[in-house]
Amino acid sequence: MKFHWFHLMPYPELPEDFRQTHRSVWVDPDSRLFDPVVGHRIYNEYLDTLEYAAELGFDGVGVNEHHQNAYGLMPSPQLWAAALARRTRDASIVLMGQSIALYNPPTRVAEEMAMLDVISGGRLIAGFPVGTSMDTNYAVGANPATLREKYRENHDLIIKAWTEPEMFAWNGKFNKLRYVNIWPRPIQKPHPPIWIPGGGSVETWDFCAEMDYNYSYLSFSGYKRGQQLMKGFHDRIEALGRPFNPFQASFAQQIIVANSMQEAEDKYFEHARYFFERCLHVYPGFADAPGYRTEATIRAGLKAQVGGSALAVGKSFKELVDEGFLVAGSPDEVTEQMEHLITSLKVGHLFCLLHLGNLPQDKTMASTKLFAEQVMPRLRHYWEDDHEDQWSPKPLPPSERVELRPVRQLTTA
Amino acid sequence: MEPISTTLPTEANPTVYYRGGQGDAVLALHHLAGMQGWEPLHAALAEQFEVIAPFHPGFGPTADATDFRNELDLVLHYRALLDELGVERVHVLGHSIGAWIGAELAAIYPERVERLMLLNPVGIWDDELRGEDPYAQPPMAATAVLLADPERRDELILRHGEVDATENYVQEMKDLKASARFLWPVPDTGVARRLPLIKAPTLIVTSTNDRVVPAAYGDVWKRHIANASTVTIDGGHLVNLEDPARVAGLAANFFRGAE
Repeated sequence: MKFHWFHLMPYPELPEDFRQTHRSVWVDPDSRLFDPVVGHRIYNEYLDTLEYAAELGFDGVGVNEHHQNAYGLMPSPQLWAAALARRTRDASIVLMGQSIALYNPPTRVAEEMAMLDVISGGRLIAGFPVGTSMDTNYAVGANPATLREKYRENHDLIIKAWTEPEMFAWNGKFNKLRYVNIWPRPIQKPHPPIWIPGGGSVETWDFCAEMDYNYSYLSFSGYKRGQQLMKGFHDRIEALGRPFNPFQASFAQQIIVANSMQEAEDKYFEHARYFFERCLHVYPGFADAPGYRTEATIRAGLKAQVGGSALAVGKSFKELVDEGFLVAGSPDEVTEQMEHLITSLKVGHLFCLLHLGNLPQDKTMASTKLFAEQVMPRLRHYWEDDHEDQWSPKPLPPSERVELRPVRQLTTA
Repeated sequence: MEPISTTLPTEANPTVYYRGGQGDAVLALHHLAGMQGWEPLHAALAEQFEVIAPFHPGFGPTADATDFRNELDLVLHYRALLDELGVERVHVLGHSIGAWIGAELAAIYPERVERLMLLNPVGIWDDELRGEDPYAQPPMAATAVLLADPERRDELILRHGEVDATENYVQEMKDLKASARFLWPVPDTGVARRLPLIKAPTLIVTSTNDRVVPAAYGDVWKRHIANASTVTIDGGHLVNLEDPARVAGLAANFFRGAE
């Protein structure tokens, strides 16, 4: 079982009445709510936390891409991945991911990810999301009528740019490039492992099954509500005659570890509420541009990406834990809930959301430390004996990796 | 009225249209959220004209238009349809996205268009006038913004339960997607550059409570067309459903040359 520490990087100072006085946390949140000095503090704290998680033995550290989003301050996940590549040694750099349909030419994505793989010594996981409708259609302006078609073409071009040793011409519908021959090329061969973050789209399941990619269900609704979609994925794998392997599936879960359930509630509940009530407050008119979801997905009765999380609003701490929105409690209690999560969802990779909403640094680190030292070791054994993890990076052996020169700072008056 | 299906020589997929009535031919080009079939507006016009009402590429039963990129593809599509039907000259009643397509047709093939009526035309963007985004609406009520009184959606769109709400949602998403292919994210099609090529007498009709195309856009279109006049009537973007008799009356008078 593998554990990745994943940061959403929320803005922590949205006003208490944000839900009542603002229409959306995403696409059109009032820019005057953003204080760059607060931003300076939290960006650096958040990076510290990711580095701390790597020190504690998490398998990977994760970053993602959002635009015009007050709960996701990472328009460019590559920037953080680059910083993490230099500031961590063994952890996977889980770039989860880059919305590949948005970049023109997409060979830029191939180049930047190849750079990251080379800098990190082959530790990159390449996430290829379609991206949410809020990000892709509304914030970046990509046409929903062509988004998925463009996604597939850009995917094919990036893979070829990574793997084709000869220079080639690309005459696509969305990209016309006479000379494709990227430098550098990735360390991992044929290319870094590809993970596909998805909400609930049936096409994504088929794509992962067909290409042998990892399907990452990044839900904020918790493991009990995640059953339907994760089962949908495993069923598709079986229906298509592919072997079951839990490492082909990932799930994201909000987690709080304290010394007791009472302490978890006393110290963390207000921050979880901040996340559910302010961070996930999205105007429904931005959730689902016409054509963003395919007819098959709509007909399958799958909810829009942000739909389910609204159900957490107004719930008590106990209800959030009982319903699985939060995995929380003492290390023993968290271990027990995690066992249920792992065995019921049948996942081999977990994105641990140990930072919640406006959680301060000291509480984040305390919860992270307890998880790493008292929960993770007791869950490691899952799946290891019977299944091979083909979706983790294959870095250079330690003997071939360079040591970084320590940086000394001059003090200024 | 039964729909007719035909496959045009340059296309792989069938185009579906209605054709009814007798008299001079009127090509009725529907709005950005689709067409309900042979609508009351078509029936009213068919009392005096031969009405041809196609579903645009990607709308309703006409197949998705993945290989359509721009106005030229659409204009060639309608030229091919008129050729197929053996219709040389038409009056055009273009509504919303259909007004844009009709204007392009009249600019690129001026000899094919007798008179041109542009109803709540989409396709020019003005930074001052703007207009609400028809593609950023709560999905299950996406078309409410297109009505002067959103409460009338149940009557005019769902037709008091005659149309299944889920099926309607799926169809609205498909139809809005089909128009988004050409109008996303800002409905600036570049048509303003081509409008001076229009030779047909043109009537621009806007609606008082159209939130997507505010009525003041009428004058913006008029500035670019040589022989155009404007009129504003009560209603929203879908005034074809809200007041079909009024729209049919205006169109019939104009096409008969009665101004």
